Amino acid sequence: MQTERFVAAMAAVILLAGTVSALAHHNTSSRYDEANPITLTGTVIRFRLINPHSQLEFEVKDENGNVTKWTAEAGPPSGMYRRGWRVDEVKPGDQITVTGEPAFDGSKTMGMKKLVAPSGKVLQ
Amino acid sequence: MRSHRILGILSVLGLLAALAVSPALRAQSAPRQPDLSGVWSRINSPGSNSDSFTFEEPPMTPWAEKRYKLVREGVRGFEQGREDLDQMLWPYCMVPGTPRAYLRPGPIEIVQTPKGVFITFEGHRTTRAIYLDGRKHPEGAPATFLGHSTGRWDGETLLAETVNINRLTWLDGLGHPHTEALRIEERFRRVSPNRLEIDFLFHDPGAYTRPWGGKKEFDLKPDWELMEYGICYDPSELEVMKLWEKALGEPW
Repeated sequence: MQTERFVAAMAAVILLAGTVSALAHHNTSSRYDEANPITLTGTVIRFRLINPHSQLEFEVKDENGNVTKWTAEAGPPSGMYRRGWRVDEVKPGDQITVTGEPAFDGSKTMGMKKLVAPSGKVLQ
Repeated sequence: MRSHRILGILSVLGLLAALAVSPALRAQSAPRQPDLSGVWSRINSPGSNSDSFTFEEPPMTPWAEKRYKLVREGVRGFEQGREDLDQMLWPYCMVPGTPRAYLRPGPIEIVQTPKGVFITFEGHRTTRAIYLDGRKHPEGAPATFLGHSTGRWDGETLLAETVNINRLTWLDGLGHPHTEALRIEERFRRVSPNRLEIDFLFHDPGAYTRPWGGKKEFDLKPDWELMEYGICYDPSELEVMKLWEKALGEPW
């Protein structure tokens, strides 16, 4: 019984690891609902201008105080940089407003379209 | 008056004679080849297919059809081919090779010299050479992701031929396959100071029953520098970085 549980747990870990990697390198147009964008306000956990998709991790608190972690995925860093984004654009703890296309699979991920930084700067 | 006219005619005749016999003077008066050098950003206009070179499906041999059908399974419209069969994506991260490199994110930088035209792609940071010094394609060389390219000028058009591309590449993002016998013709034209056009033609009788291709257009970006784009570049996802942390006992 213990062995079966261990094997099942390891299988779950391996499956989850594969899923995380796949999310980071997918064809974005087939994963995100472009027709129904959403806007969230939250607190930055981490922001990275990174290949192949830049990543913004942030927390959203609802009216009951429940916190949900979201990941907003954007384009490659070179394109972002040319549109005015910089590596220190937002920092952990910053309050931001993010507009993006939610993932079809219901996970707390989105394709980022617009970010309003604490400075008021709007990045698209 | 008459003597001035005769003098003028003789002067012109003398100049023409000098031009005929002087290589240096001939070179100076010959039409200049355009300089393709610069950073060029591909234009994704509504009429162009950003993941291929044309919207039309080329007629394929049974060999190619079987492979193409496989990579299109579960894929909609003009989306990229099956990700799990794409060796360019995670976790294989092979370079796209040519001509697929032209369809990847990021601009290209062309450096033109008398010896050759060198094209660096920001996408996957790969550089290919089109040799202009008259050399032939090497016999018996191993096939590579970028193949071997030679070229020559035809007026203001650079004609390039590429052969010996390995089969670890797709022709485009849709997943069109090719054999190692693929031969690519490219025609580069700087149609205006800020516009570059490249016409592609793919010859591969083992995969396609006729040549096919298309055109890509690029805008000059004089203020841009090439940066880097790639697939396996996120250290938080790389096993090797996890091994580093384990060996160090601290964040790498």
